[in-house]
Amino acid sequence: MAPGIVSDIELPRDIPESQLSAANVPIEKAFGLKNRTIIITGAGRGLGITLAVGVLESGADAICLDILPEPSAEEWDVITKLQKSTGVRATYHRCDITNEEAVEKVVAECGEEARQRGKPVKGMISCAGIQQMVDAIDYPMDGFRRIMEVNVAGSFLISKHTARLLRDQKLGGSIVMIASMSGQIANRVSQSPDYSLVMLF
Amino acid sequence: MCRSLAYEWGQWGIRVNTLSPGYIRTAMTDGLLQEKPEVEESWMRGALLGRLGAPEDFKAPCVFLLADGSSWMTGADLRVDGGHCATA
Repeated sequence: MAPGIVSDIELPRDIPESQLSAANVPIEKAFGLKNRTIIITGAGRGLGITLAVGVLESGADAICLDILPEPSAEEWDVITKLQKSTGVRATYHRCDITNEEAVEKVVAECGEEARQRGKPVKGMISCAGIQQMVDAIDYPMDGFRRIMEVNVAGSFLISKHTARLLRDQKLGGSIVMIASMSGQIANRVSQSPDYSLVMLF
Repeated sequence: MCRSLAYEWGQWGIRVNTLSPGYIRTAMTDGLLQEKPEVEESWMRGALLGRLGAPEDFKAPCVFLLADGSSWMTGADLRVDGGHCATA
C-alpha cells in the first residue's frame, strides 16, 4: 500500500461499541422480538392488525388498541390461531388515543401486567390515523382540526406515555410511527396539504 | 416530531423512527379506485415494481425497526413505497 493510504475496512482490536450494541447478536435474534411486549394503535383492523400479526409472528406479545369496541372478527381470527399455535399473547383494548387519561391508564396497566409476565413493553407502533379526501381549497376547518387531533395529537399522546413507561423501566425501547411518503411528496389523490403536513411527523 | 422526540429520548435508550408507506390497497383506497379509475392510472405511473402496496409489505420493515437489529437507528424514516418517491 502506498504511504499515507490506510485500509478503511480493517477493524481495531477492541471496539467498545460492540459491547454496547444490542444488535451484536446472531441475525435470527436481531430480527426477532422474543421476550417482550409491543403496543400497537389502530390495531382493530387494516394495516394495524396486519402489523400486530407481524409482531406476534416475531415472538412478541401484543397489546392492541383501537377506538372500535371490538376488532374486526375475520382478522382477529388469525391472531387467535397464532396465539394457540405459538403461545404468544394478544390482548385487545378499546382506547381513544386522543383522550390522555385513557391512554395513560391503558399504557400503565398493560405495561405493569407485561412486566409481571416477564415480557416488558419494549416497543410501540403508532398506526391509528384517519384521512379525508377533500381538496385543500374547499377543506372545512373542523375536518382539518379533527385530522390534527387524531393523527398528530393522538400519535404524540401514545408516544409520550409509552416513552414514560420505557424511561421508568430503564430497558430502552423502540417507537415506530406509521407516517406516509406524502410527508415528502405531493399525494396524487387528496390534494389536501394537511395530509402531507400531518404525515411529516 | 419524530426527530425531536428521538433527540429528547435518546438519553433513555428510546429510539423513534417513522415508516412511510406509499400507495396501499386498503378497504378505503379500494373503494376510491373503483370509483375513480384515473386515480389508479396516476398511482401506477410511479409504481416502479408495477403494483400497489399490500398491508403485508410493511410487516417486516416494521418488525425490523422494533427489533434489536436496528439498534443504532433513531430519528430516521424508512420509506417503503414501491419506488414511488424515487421518480417524484
